Amino acid sequence: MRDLLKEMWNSLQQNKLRTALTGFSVAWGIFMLIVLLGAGNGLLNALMNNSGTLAHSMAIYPGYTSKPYGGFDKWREIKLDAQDVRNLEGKAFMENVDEVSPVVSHSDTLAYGMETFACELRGVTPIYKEIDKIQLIAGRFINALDIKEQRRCIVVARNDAEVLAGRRRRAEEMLGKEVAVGAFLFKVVGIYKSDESFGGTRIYAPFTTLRTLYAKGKDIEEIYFSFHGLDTEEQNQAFEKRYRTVVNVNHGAAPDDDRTVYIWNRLIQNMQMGKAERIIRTALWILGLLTLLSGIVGVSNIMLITVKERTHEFGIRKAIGARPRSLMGLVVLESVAITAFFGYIGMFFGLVANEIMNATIAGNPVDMGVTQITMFVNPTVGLDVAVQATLTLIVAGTLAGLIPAWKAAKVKPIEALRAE
Amino acid sequence: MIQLRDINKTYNNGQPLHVLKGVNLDIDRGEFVSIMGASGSGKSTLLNILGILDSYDTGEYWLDGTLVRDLSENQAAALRNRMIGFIFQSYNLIGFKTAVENVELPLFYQGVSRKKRNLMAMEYLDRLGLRDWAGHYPNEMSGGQKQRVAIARALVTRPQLILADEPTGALDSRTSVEIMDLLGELNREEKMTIIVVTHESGVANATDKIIHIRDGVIGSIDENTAHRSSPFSAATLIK
Repeated sequence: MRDLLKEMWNSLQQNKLRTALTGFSVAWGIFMLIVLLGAGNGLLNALMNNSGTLAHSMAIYPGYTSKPYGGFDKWREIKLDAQDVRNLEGKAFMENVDEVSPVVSHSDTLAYGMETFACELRGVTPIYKEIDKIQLIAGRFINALDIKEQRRCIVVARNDAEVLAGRRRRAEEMLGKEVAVGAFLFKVVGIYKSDESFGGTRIYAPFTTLRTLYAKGKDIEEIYFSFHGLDTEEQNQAFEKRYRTVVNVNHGAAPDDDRTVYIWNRLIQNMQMGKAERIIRTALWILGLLTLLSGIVGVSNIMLITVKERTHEFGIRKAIGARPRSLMGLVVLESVAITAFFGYIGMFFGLVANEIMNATIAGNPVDMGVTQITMFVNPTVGLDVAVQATLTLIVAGTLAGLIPAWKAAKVKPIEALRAE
Repeated sequence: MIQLRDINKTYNNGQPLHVLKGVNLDIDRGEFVSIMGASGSGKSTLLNILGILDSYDTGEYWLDGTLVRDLSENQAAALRNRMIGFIFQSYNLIGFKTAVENVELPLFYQGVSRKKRNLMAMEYLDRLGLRDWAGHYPNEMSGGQKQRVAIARALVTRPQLILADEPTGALDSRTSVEIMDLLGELNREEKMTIIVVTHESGVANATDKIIHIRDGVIGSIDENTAHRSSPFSAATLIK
């Protein structure tokens, strides 16, 4: 092995410029591969972040009947009610459903000091925070005691809190303050980070408080719940179908009517996004590998020239008993060494470039007017990619060396020795 | 040691060229033989066939009891490595390797360990008076020294057959004599079979038997144990 390395070193030493130029193309190829994968990760991470909901959760929104049934015409509006929530919490779905948050909402005017603005109050239960991944930056979310005692407390968005607090005051100063919502006073108990993706302003309050204050009775507007044990698309569809039937029966609609409620299944959505993610990643790998290919062709070319130049030497080696395989090994090893060495340089700079991206443009939200979207989150590659890239380099180097090596093995000693 | 039976060889480079036209030759173990002939007489081709560097079209070549025919590259390589030591006119040392590394190379292909390899190579360099030159590269040595390194490389595997192709072709007359004396010594002391291809009668005269090859066939075989057929002289060595 040491002899092989020494011979390789000798040969590389003789053609420094040529080796360096070829090496550059390999380095560039792997650099592009790493940067592409890093940028792709950044985009995908951002995509995942923006869809900030609990994967194992569903949201149910009311719809309209699409079939005449039980004496009613079609297009009858369905309104969710407390029975639908009880059904979901009941025996039939106990196996899968974890926690349910019914939602009631109420639009009103919010006022504090000199500031007033229109807002949407949403009455929710504590699990809602998990399901919609609400990130608190101060205070707390609605808790079980709020629900039980029907406390008048709210959780507001940071930008709303900033407006309410007034000029040159921080959002956190609103914590504990009483604000007027329509005719009632509510205490601000928490401030959450808003991505403004809803455009309007959402303010969260205990479900029971809103139901009582605004006399909602048994009406429910939306139902959110978390679940477990539904792993395949088929299981999810079966579950949805079962629940639809229960709702339809409750509201006197045709049992097989699938338009009465909309079910937004986040798990299915995640599965589809996962599929999209895999496609994007594959596409990036292919692009990167194609870039790398030009480098590989370069290495192959250089090795061909090297073999040509060393024909005489290979002839001598053969005359004194070198097997074709050992000559092939020499060439392939040299090829792998060039590819691996410069590949690692490229990989290093690729990782550095990713870190620079991470430190500069990553995490900055892009303002799209009505909403803000973070385009780039953590655009780096993991250890797995580094390992895969290493394997790619070794395979690529071997491939690059194969044809030249074959040529070296085929050197005819007499012709080679004649070639002075 | 060597039996050639009706060896034919034709080169097909455009115009077919019938180089060896039925060569029959026997060389016994321990002989010191030269093959002489003019340019194009087929002597180098014959040597290449003897050294398993080239193939022949028809006939039989028996080397130490084995028929050398249709060998795979690996078999040929192993046979060359084990049985035959080559000495070339242009030395054919590898330029980026030191003398001792060059001598080690055949042992490397035999899979001998690094330490043992070095020991054996040094032993042979020492025998050829090149111990102090072991660490030098070929371009730092004189022609005679280079040829002696090449001889050490040919000897290091203790082959039974030494094939020398114009071993003195690039050397001055004095060094030529030295080299031929060295080969003679090896033949006498180690009982090695040595075949020298040359077109110089002076070189041929140093051997015990002179085989003349003319137009692809063996012409005459002269016993030359007295070494008086055509001694080295200024006349024969001026090139």
